[in-house]
Amino acid sequence: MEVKVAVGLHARPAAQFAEIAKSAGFPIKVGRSVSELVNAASPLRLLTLKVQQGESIFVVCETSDESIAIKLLDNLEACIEN
Amino acid sequence: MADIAGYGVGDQPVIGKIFLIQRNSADSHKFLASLPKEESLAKLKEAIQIVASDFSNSINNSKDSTLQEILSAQLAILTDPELSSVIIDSINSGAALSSAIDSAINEFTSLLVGGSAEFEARIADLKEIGSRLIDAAAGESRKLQFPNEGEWIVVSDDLSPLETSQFTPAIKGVVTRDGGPTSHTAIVCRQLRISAVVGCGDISKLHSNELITLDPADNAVYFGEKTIENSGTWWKQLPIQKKSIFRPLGNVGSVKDANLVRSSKAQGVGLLRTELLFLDYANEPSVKEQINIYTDVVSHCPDGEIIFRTLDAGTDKPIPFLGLGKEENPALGLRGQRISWIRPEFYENQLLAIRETGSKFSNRKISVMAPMIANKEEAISFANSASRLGFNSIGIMVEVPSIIEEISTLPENIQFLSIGTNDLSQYLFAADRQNSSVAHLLNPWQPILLKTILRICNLSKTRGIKVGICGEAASDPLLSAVLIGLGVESLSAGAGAVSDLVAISQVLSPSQAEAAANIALNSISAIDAQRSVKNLLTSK
Repeated sequence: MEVKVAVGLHARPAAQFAEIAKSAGFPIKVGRSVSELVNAASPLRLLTLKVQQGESIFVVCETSDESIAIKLLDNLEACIEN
Repeated sequence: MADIAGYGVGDQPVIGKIFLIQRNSADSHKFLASLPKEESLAKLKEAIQIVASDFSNSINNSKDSTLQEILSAQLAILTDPELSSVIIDSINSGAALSSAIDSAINEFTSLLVGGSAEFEARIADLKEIGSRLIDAAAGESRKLQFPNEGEWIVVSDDLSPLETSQFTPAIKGVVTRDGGPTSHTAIVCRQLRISAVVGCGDISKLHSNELITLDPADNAVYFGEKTIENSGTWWKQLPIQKKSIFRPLGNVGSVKDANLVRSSKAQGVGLLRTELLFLDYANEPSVKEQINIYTDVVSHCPDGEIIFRTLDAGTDKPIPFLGLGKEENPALGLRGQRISWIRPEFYENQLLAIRETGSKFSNRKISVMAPMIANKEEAISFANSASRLGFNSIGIMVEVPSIIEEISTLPENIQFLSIGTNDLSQYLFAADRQNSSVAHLLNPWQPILLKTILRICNLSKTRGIKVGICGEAASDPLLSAVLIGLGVESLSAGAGAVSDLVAISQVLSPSQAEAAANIALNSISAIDAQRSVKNLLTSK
């Protein structure tokens, strides 16, 4: 998904993003590529990705329940929109 | 000329070696380095909770939504399990708590370097979180080891209640950078009868283990050893008067105070601070609980009148169960009797509990007074509530200057006034009690304060009501003579200062008090007034 929020995946968006990821109940990982993923429930780790506006990120949900995963991805996307 | 000048507390000169309390992370690091692994882990958990609750409080108290978002983001970082797990890992591999925190913070900040300005800015946040964690871990449990032998003078920016509670008998004096005559440190030192010079502004020239001399009566600190003529006990060796010209009373906030005031032979309690009895209560105590608390204290008080003061709280003197919010200017806000505007039932219950307590001691005079009364309407409202419950000795405190203009027209059921000199000074001089930059204005020797007390006494005479003083000014042995000369009928001192006050009440003559008052009233400054009265009373 694309990070649209002007400041990038910065303090406040990161905190909200992590909050949603934490509530998922299964592990979620984020990164620029599938080879460098960090724990999406950690606002600190999200910050260290230094994702800027306009960059795309991979989000990996470790669950077999596809419908829940899609809903969650929508929620995550919403918090990095403008 | 003093080498360092501040505000003196007490009147005994002391000489001692400097015990310097330095507050910086270096100290915290040293303390945390000595903790074993298990304790480090527990401390870390505790520190995260402490700092997190600081953040939560700031978030709740902030009205600015942008600031709330920033603080929430910082709180999210602080409580991020990834942060604590890195710290825990390095503690488990043998690192001390402080260096484990430092290295975890460094690890994350190095990952943020090279991003845009927004990311670089988070480095400062992280570093702040790190240092707050270290301070929180060290602060709560850092035990100051005061020396047990020798004669020492504690020098510090200021002292917390926890620190003053750890003083050993070897601590003979205190010098602080901050604070004023009514700061916590000053009040405690007066209570413990330790000489102090507070609010010195610059203490950087005072170094550990060097000798210094304090002359609190002259508000002075001197480098090295200096002989000071002791004027502290002017009343000793004076002849006992046939009749005492004032009642020496004591201030009581606990059973311990009550015992001390009684053994000092006070003739009663001029101020029973009910708020101090409630500090530990998370929930409002019931009328029955209050009666038990009051009965316990009263049974330890000396014979004579006991003046209960209704709850004197505020956001600067918090009582948990009142649930007061945050105020920009707490000293000018909902404070003292004003809280009855929002919690009338608490004040009614309290008066009822005091009344019920009084009925158990039917041979005693139990009086009641309210703090922070600002106008006649408030005075009448309080006096009528107390009258309805059957109190027949009712008073108000004079600390808000506006009430002075109504003294001569106060209703019949108000029979006494009690001057709270600390707050009266604060409001009269527009000088915040918490701000050491304006502390000199709060010096109780200010001739204008003394003139105001004279005016209160004169107006009260026209109504035939008595005036007492329960502020810190009553604990100063030199000033006590002046206050009596101004027309005050009773002085109520902090428990530790009562025995001197009792001794003074036996020897002070009317002519001496009058002369002291006249000299002080006609002085050009507080320092001048204090010096002139000292000369008068100590010259034989």
